[in-house]
Amino acid sequence: MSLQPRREYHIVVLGAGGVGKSCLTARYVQNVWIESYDPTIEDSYRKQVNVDGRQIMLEILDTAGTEQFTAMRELYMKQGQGFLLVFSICNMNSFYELAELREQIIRIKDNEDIPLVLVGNKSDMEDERVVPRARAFQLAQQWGQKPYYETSARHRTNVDEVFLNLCHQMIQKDSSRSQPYEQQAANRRQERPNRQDRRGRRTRNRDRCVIL
Amino acid sequence: MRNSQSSSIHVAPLRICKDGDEGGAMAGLNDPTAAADSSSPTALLEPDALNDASGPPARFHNYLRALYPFQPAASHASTTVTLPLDAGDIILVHSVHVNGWADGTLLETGARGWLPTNYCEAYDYTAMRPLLRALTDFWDLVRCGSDSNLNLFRNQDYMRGLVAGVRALLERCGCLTRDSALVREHDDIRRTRKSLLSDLALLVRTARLLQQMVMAQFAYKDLDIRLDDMLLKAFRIVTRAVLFFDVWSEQTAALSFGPARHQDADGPPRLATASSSPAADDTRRMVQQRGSISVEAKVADTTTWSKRNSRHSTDKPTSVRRPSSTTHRMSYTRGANEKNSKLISEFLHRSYDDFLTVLASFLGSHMQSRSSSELLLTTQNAVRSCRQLFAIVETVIERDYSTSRPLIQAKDAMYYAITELVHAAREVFKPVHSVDGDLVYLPQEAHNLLQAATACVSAAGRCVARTKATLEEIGDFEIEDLGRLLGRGSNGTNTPEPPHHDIGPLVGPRASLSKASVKDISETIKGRPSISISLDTTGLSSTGYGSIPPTPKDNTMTDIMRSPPLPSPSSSNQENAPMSSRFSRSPADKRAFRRSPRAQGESTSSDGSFGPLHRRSYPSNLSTSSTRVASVYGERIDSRTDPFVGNSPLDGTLGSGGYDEDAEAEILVNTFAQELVFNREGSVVGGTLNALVERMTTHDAAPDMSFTSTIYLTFRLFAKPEEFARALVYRFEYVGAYPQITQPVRLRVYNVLKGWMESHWRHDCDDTALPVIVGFAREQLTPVLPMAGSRILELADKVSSAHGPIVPRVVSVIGKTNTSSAAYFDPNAPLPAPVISKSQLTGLRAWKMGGGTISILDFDPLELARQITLKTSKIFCSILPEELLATEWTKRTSSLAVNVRAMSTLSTDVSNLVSDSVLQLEEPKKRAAIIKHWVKIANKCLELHNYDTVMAIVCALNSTNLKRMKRTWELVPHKTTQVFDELCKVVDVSHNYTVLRQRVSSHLPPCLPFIGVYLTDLTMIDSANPATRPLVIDAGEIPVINLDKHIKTAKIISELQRFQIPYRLSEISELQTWMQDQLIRVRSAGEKNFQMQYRRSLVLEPREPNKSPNPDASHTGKDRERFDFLHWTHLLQKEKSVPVSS
Repeated sequence: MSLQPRREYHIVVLGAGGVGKSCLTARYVQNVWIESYDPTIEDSYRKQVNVDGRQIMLEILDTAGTEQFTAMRELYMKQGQGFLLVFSICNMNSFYELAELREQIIRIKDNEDIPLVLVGNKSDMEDERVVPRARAFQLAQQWGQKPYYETSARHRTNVDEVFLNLCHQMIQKDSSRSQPYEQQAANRRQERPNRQDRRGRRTRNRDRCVIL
Repeated sequence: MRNSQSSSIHVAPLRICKDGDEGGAMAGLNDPTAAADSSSPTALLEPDALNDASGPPARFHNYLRALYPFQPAASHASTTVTLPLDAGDIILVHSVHVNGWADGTLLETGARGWLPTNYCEAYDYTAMRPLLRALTDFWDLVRCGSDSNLNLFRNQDYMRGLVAGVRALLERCGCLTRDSALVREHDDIRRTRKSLLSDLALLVRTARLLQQMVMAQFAYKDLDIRLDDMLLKAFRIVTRAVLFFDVWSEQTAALSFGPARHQDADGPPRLATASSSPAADDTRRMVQQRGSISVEAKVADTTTWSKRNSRHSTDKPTSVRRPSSTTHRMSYTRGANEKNSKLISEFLHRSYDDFLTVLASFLGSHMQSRSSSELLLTTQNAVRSCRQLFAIVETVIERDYSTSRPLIQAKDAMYYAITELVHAAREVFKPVHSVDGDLVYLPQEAHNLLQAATACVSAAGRCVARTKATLEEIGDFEIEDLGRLLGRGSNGTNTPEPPHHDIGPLVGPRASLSKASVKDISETIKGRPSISISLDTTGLSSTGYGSIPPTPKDNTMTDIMRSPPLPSPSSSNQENAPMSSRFSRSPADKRAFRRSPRAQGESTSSDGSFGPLHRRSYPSNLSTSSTRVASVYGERIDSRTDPFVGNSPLDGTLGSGGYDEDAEAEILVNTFAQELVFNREGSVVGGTLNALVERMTTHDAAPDMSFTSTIYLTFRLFAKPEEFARALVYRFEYVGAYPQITQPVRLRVYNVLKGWMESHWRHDCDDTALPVIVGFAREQLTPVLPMAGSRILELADKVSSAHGPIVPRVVSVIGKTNTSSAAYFDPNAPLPAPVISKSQLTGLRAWKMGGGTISILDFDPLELARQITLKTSKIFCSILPEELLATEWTKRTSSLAVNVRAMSTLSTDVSNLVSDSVLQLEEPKKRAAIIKHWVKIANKCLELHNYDTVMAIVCALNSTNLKRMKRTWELVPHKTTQVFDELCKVVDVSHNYTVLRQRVSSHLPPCLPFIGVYLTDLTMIDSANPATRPLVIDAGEIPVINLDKHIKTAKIISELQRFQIPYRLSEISELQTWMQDQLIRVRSAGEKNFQMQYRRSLVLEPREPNKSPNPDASHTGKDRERFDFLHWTHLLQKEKSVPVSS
């Protein structure tokens, strides 16, 4: 464990087929909605972001298109330090399937506390909603008080927020490993109000599970 | 850019005025900007370098127009860097420095340099916008994209933007047709319009020529020169268009507002005054919005240019306005420009261009048979344009004899080359050839001809390069027009007849030799007196070659030079008469002349129209003669006259409008070309359905295979099949209005339909288009093309009954390598012998009968790898392209992508089998042996380039269920783990599968790439690229089909298809059966497989208690170390206890 927090993070985007994972990723990586996106180059899924003044490189591993290769999932999960579990608010099954994915992650990481964000995508299709917001929120709480966001990849609503939140979680986990408890706790106390200011309406309390 | 290096030196002039400082300089740029913004919110590109100025953010304008003349002071002598401007000049801006100087190219001359932006204003009008945008694109293309990408010039798509731009301008101005009221009423409009169109036609023709050259694979070394030339031509078009627009604005404004708004500038402003009063700006804005632009001063007076407003209130009487009926001094050739067009280097460029043009048609002609008369004409043209070139070169030599020695040598070489060419041509005319019919080249003759022509090209290239070098040394100089140069000046005074109708003068004694040779040829062809007439020798003797020094301005000459083609049809006919007689031929000749290479019937020869097949190769050769006067352009136009129609007397009656007839035809064709979107490389990336269909069925270029395949493959994603069919029908219909291109286009429409039904029909969804197609075939196609009609009907019958493609689709239709793929395997080569023993086979048979158990360990890893590869390959090769569209394979219900699904199932099964085979063993040692075996198998798969199976095996071995069994892995030999680590690196998912992608791209088939990579790519393309992209039209933006998305999709699919070639391995059915059984066995465990295996794994090697699920236990480094320590002891204990517990 180095004292310096890692500068490159891998985020794995998981979820059933057709929930809009790829769109979410693309919207985040692209910044602007361009007409021409080439996913075949090495940097297609890399993005440098500034989190609290710290430059970090994100690599996003998107499982889009390969959901049926169930044996493949682990390969991705092993790589990742942070996870986006995405479902579509219009599809109950996609919501149910996430529990299994999370279990798998926990097994692989052998750790309950993983940086994770629960994402309900397609919030622009409120009319077709079948997953109640409360229910999703409840699930996120059960998972160790993880944040729950509702996004619209189409309108680019909350897309940045989701990834930013995950970055915070990852950085924190990293630093918590290399810092004594006291300092860590102090940091967290300092950070929290800021973070709430900065983040949008859908911010949920997070990281409560950490023992102080 | 060379300019930028020295920019700092030449910034000085703007700094002279300290009070204005940067603010002043900026203001000069900013205020026209503001004005333009108010009238056109969507103006231009993004903010550029100007942003760091303190003022309001300025927009970057691609085009500026000089308000005042700018002559760099003598102290800044290097005029190569600073760009002298004349008021009214249009400049294409590349960058703007913060100090207010811009790096720009003067459209008038193509010169590039620094210029002060405060002398200019932004040039941006809605009507002009498409054309300006097209020019910018054109510039980008020619300047940035072309070097490696000659394919671009295989068709003329890159030209369409300019054509569409001109069309848009004319349309907006209400001057699209010659008959529109405005054009009729206003002479100026008509003239400027005409010169615009004729320049356009010229460029179109050059483009066509370039296309020919690129197609003929012929020496590219002159490409740069040609491209430069095209760029200049494009510049000229815009210059003309600007002039046209000025005139138009003036005329229409005059109509609506009456007289006298304009005053003239009294000269260049001081810099301090550049930021003028707001009131003046307002006035200007108003004037601008009314679209009134004064041009009269520019037209009448070549030294000053009237600004659009009265920032400087010096009056120049409005009477300057030119009465619309007078003067020939109308064209854009104002002072500076006149000068420039007479520079010897200009002449050199043009005549070189002409010469190449002719030579290109030589090179083209060897590939197909042409009529003898055509060859003759071509030769003749070659000699003539060569002579012209000679004249120029000689002029240069004359000018400075001392420095020109190498040039003389080059010239001699060129002379020699042309002589050879003439001889080669003469060889062809041996008596054995029938006089009238198509020439049949003997291979040797054709070869000679080709060689001679090629030699000519390179000789001319050297010569011209040499001339240029010399010119650089001695400096460019002006000459009078080319006619004068060629000694035809005397003609110019008495008659407007263009000198170029005659054969030019002899350039020297040697040239007379070559001319004589041509005459020779013509005489060998009996019964063609008319042709020898065309080798008019009269008047040649009088000429001194190129010795005429630049003379003082001859008014008549310059007038003629500047004047546009003659206006009235009647006069052009008259004018045409003498020429017609001169070129008259016997009727038999005419027939031969007009006979297409494909031998049209006699019936077509009597009417005035040309066969459509002619049109196919030379779509816009409507007319070349008639009204051209002795302009330099006329000269060059004629020399590139197409032999088919060139001097036919009938042409005169066809076209009254002169050369711009071509462009008229080009522009008037109802086209959707303006609805296409191109990228910087010049490929189509978007467009409306009609535009795309039109692009598939262009008349002037063979359809681009990859484009067509892309459409076939993906059109269902953006149009319903019936819509697509209707668009084709519509194309068939509307092209009917343009007889010259009807036939080829209709044939192409038929071909597209046929290809669709034969090989790309999708029975699941295309049947809805059948009624449209059948109706079309019955009612529209059959009357015109009976054979085609019945073929379509027949196909319609078949597709409605058959399943699967009627004509088998070529594997990997889109892939570039499809043609060579057959070379990858030799069907006669013996298959590698299977590595399997008799006892192994016996064992398998025994197992089949229900006796005995078999382990994976019983077989050789290589053979297992082969059999798995064969199995996977079989599925992989049967994947249809439609399975990969629109994420079909992810559909939860009734997915059509059966094979893609089968691939993922197989992959998962193999993974499960690996896990299962390891986990079913109790002893760590045995498990380690199995792991070792699987690693070997995976390694063999890697050697077979079967990445799919490698991925499956590595995934399984790397899975937590196996990976966590530390005791097992400790028993795996070090060598094996090393190999395994290597395998893991190959299938590493990070960096977007870089390693995997690189490896696969370098492989030749057969190869089994990991299909997941393609699936992810396709999914991302599908969801990350919008279905439409905006197309900027003058009225705003409309969404059009984002073809780029579909091209990308097709590209990925074609990459996959590239590998759809079966392995050449022999199948061992017993082993296959056993494997299948094993796979099914693990599959039957179903979804819960993973959990079951996890439990099993836990049973085999239970969790170590120190690895508590509580994450917080491991938070501190200290803790961790301690735990690690404990962990170690635990392990030791565990290991001891294992045999007991299990």
